[in-house]
Parts: sequence; C-alpha cells; structure tokens
Amino acid sequence: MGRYDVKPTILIYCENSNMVQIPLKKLREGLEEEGVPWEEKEIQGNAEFLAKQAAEDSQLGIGIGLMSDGTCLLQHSRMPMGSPIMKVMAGADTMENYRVVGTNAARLAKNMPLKWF
Amino acid sequence: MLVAGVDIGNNTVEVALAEVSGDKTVFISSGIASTTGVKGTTSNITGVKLALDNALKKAGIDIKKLDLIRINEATPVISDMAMETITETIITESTMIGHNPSTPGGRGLGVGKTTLIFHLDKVKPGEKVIVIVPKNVDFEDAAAIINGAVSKGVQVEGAVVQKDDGVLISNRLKKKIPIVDEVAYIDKVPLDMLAAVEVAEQGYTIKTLSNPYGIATVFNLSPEETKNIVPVARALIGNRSAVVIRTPAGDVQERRIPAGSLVLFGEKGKTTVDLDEGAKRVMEELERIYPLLDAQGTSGTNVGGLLAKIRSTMADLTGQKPDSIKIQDILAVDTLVQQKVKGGLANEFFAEDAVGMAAMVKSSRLPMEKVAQKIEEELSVPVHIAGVEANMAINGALTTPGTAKPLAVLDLGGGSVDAAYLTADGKVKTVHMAGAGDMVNMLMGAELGISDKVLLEDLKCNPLAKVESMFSIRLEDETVKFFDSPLDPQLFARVVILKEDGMVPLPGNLKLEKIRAVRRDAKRKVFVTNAMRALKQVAPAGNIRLLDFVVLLGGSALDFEIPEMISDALANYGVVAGRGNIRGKEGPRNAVATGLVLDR
Repeated sequence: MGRYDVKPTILIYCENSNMVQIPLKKLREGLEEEGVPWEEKEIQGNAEFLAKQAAEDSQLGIGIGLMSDGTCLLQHSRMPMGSPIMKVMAGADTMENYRVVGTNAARLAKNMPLKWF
Repeated sequence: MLVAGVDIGNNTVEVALAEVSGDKTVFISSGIASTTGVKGTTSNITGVKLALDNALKKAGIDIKKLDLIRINEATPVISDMAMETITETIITESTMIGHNPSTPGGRGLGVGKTTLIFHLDKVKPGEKVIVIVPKNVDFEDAAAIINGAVSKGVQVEGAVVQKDDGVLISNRLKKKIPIVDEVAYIDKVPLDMLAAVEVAEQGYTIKTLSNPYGIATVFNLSPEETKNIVPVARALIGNRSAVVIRTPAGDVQERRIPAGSLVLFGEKGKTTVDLDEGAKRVMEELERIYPLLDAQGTSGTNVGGLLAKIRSTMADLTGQKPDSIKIQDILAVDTLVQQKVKGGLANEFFAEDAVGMAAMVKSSRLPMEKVAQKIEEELSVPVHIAGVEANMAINGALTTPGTAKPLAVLDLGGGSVDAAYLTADGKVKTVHMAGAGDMVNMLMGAELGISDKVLLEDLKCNPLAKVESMFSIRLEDETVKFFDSPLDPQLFARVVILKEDGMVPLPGNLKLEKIRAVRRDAKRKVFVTNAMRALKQVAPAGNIRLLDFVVLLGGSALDFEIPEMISDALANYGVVAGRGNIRGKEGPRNAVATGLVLDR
C-alpha cells in the first residue's frame, strides 16, 4: 500500500477501548464537531509511546494516546516523544477535557487556534 | 568641567554627560529614565535623579564630581485628546444574533417560530418552528427529540444551540436544517417569535439575512420597516451564519447623535464648522483661519462635551480655571469605534462613526525655576536653566552627520508634534501641533475595540506575524521564518506581536491584515498630517519646498514605520528627511540634552 492510498486521518491509539468508553466518546465528539476524520486502534505501551506512535502513523502527523486509566496525550509527529501538545491526567475533573483534546487535535489539522481547559 | 544636560520631556528624562574645557566638548555618556509626575513640576526630581544615575554609572563617575547641570526651559505646551461617537445603534429588543461560530451545522435558510426544545412535543403537525437548545441538553438527546418531532409532521426549520454542538446535532438529523451554535445568551432569545436562521456553505457568506430586502421578504416587512432593519443587515454582512428574530415591538434604530458644531476663533477671523461634515472639513477651516486663538463647541452636543473634557483636564494640570484655558491647536480625525450593540445576544459589535480630537494649550510658563531649585538642593550641584527647548533641539540635531544650516527639526513626541526651523542667519521659529503618539493609541484602540493600554502600545510599536505551524511564522511582508525548536502551543495558528523579548499572542479573532491597516492608517492620520501642518508653519514663506533638511527627533521617531511615512510624504516636496542621529550614535534621542551641553 503506497503512502497516497492511506486516507489522511487523526489516529487515536488506546490500550483497551472497553476501559475508556466515555473519554473515547468525548474525543470523538470533539473531532466530529470540527469535521476532521479519525481512526481508532488498540495497541500496547505507555502513554508517551501510544501518542507518539499514533502521530507517526497518522498522515496528518497528529495522534492521540489514551491509557486505560484515562491518561490522554495529544501528540504532533514533529514534536519529540514525551512533549505532548496537551495532556489530560488520570482522574480528570471533567470529561469535557477529553472533548477539548479532540477539538484541538482537529484544530491542529485545520491550522486554527487551540482551545484551553 | 563636568556638565550634564538634562531634558525633562513629557514621557522621558534624557541626560547627556560631557567634559567641557574651553571650546572643547567631549561627550562621555547618555542616560534615560521615565518622567515622574507632570512635566515642569517638582515631582520630576525622581526621574531626573534616575536619568543622571544612569548616565553617571555608564561613565563610572561619582555624582560629586559633577560641576554643573543645565536644564531646559520646558515649552509650556500640554495636549489632551478625546473621542465622541456621532452615531449609535440600539436594538430596542433582542432581534438578532450575528456571530460567527467556527463550526455551525447544516446549511440553508429556515424560518419559523422560536420554540424551546422541551416544548416541541406540544407543537401541532405542520407548524414551522426554530428549535432553541440550551446547554443542559445533550446533543444526542437534542437530535433524537428533533427527529421525533419531524416524524410526527412538525416542520423543524432550524435550530439555535448554546453549546458548540452544531455539527454533532446536524450529523444525527434525518432532515438537514441550518444550526447556529455557541450562542452564549440563549436564555435571552424571545420565544414564540418568528425567526430566521441562515447558515452558508463552507467558504461562503450568508446571502438572505445580510440583505435588507432578503429580511423584508422573510418577514413580510413594509418599506418603512425595511428601512429600520438596514443596520441589522449591515451588521451581518460577511458572516457565515446568523439568526434574526422578529419581535413585535422589536426595532433596530440607528440614531444619529447631533454632533454639534465647532466655533474656531483665529487671527484671520471666526468660522463655524458642523462636525457632521467630517474631520477633513474641520481641518480645512482651521487652516483658513490659522493661527488659532480659541475653539468652542455648542454646549449640550458631543463637540461641546469633547472640548469640555479637554478643558477640565488642562485646568487640573495647570491650576487655571477651565474658562480661561485657550485652545491653540486641534487635530480632528474621522474614525470608527467598535461598540457593543445594545441588545445583542452574542456580544455583537457595530462600527460607529466617530471623531477623535486632540487639543493643545499653551499655559503660562511652567515653573522650571522651582524644579531647578529643588534639584540644586537635593543633589548639591549648581543648576542653570539654559535656553528654549526648540533651540536646544536644533543645536542637538545639528550633531547628526550630514546636516547643515538652514535646518528644520520635527520632534515626534507622545502628546504633540513640534517643529522648529533655524534660518541660515541663526533665527529660530517654532510651532506645536496637537496630537501624536498617544492619539495613535486612542485611534487604534477605538477601531480595534481594545482597551488594554499595554497591548495597544505593543501593537503600535511592533510588527505582527501569523503562526502557521509548530515551527514557522509568516511575517507582515509575507516572508516565512522557521524556528529550530517548536513554538508554544498557546501561539498555534494565532496572530502574534513580534516583540524583542518574544511573541505575544493576540486575544480574539483579530485579523493580521486588519490590525496592520488600522495601525498604519492611524499613524498616517496623526503623524503625517501633523508633520505637514507643522512644517508649513515654520517653512520660509510657508512653503515646504523651500526646506532643505528635516531631521526627525523624539520617541516616536524610533518607530519602525513612522519615519518612513514622513520621509515618503516629504520626498514629494524634494526635501531630505530622515531620522536624526544625535552625535552620530544616539539615534533620534538625546537632542535637547546634547544641545543643552553645547549651549554657550
């Protein structure tokens, strides 16, 4: 499969999607409202690795890593591993923070100013 | 003998330190500090001390070694400014939402009665409604309720949503409707009223609600009512989405405030100008009767208020009675003011016409003797008051390489633009024009809707850029600059001010092109206009063409574009104009302080 056959999408890599259904739903909402396509995949590793790998694999260079404990990282492929654009810690105050991460992932792709918690 | 020239200006105190022996003057160092208190008052001492310390420290000299301080006889000119709008738009009842959410849902035009989503089940089949969705309703529920109503035969034509959920709701509807979201004050939307919602295709702007006849068609308006709706249509031009709600009593008025007229008393007679005729007309009339002896406005009108404001500030500063203040110059500028619409639902702004005005007053001599005495007491160094400010400025300006008599200087300050002309036989003519750097800030603030003074100063003094990626910015001149390390995500996709110590992101949705245009326009309206007016006054026979050299001085001459603008305008007259370079190294600063040291 050549590089141009891959649809440009934002990639969400999570440890176990069953464990994080609500954060995942909120991420999707943010992305959908902004109108940017995304794909989801389950892989293993720590948060930094998930996010970096998602960004590397994404045609848009934008990835989200989501751990089962709720830790969520927004990563750009041109940024080094461990330097996320944005981060939601496990046990976040509000689920809306995940939606902001989704929104910002889309806004990075659209070149629009980001939202902040 | 160690001599310090001290120039107390409106905004800064400047010091030139030199060793004078016989005919020989050797400059050692320069100092600068902010002016403390109003120029010419004893509270200036602190600033003077700081500036002196600054210069002495650079030279490594103790203040005890200082033999003489020379201060200038400050020009007793004070200027002030004010602005008044001459139009005002009032929406007597909430009738429109004209904002641009980044992601509205659906597209097209829908007309119906505004109905809260909780009441949708009571609507009879066949009725046309616009659904109002407050923020406590989840988008999935909202979509389900709307789909349910539609399947019962209710004609849901559009929706107004409080949260940023427009696309999410739209994607879940069986029948697509236009949806405007992110409406902050949704509780203020009147219910059971006829409303129209319009969302344009991506990349397009709305067509119907930005057109008065379009609104007239939607709401069946009479010609008279159509006239009243014009400001609404005008405010919605360029939006991708909008809502207009027709309330029975609701009306939008564009009120023209009687601006009043300005009476100018000059040496060549008296003239009355109606402010409605615009700032340009005021300036034409002013030129006709110049020099100005006094100006008055019709009381109870905006001009009256404007001049009264200026007079009372002047009276406070000089300790004179407001009635005895004589205004000796004014600069009127047409401008637009961003004002919040009274009765808007989503923080809409209208650009109202306004006139900005700066005025200048020559007060009785400022008590520099007192200041001199106080400095002498506090520092135990003899203080002399030497020469008039303008003559000193020329003395200093002549140290710029490449200049010669006859010479004109333009001092571009914060409050006024001053010009002085030195003839070949050593005579000096001076003039002061109202309006300078501070007025540029006022005009920019009004037109951009910014009240933060620090931000305005930054916007005035620095160029802009747009952050285009994590690693690059595009500058005002369209060139792109790359960075080795990633930029702060806070800056991403924003317009930033390029300051020496980093980039400052701008709030809101201000566009780079717009700010740049407003900034340059304000500078031109104030500085180029005043430079021309001032030079005409001092030039031989009032003819700018007869000037050879014009040296630009003062803080605003350090600006990155004002000197070029003035040079450009003067090039048409065949005049050599440029930023001064005092003593070949100080730039446009320190002219008066240097002149004071050189004064014999």
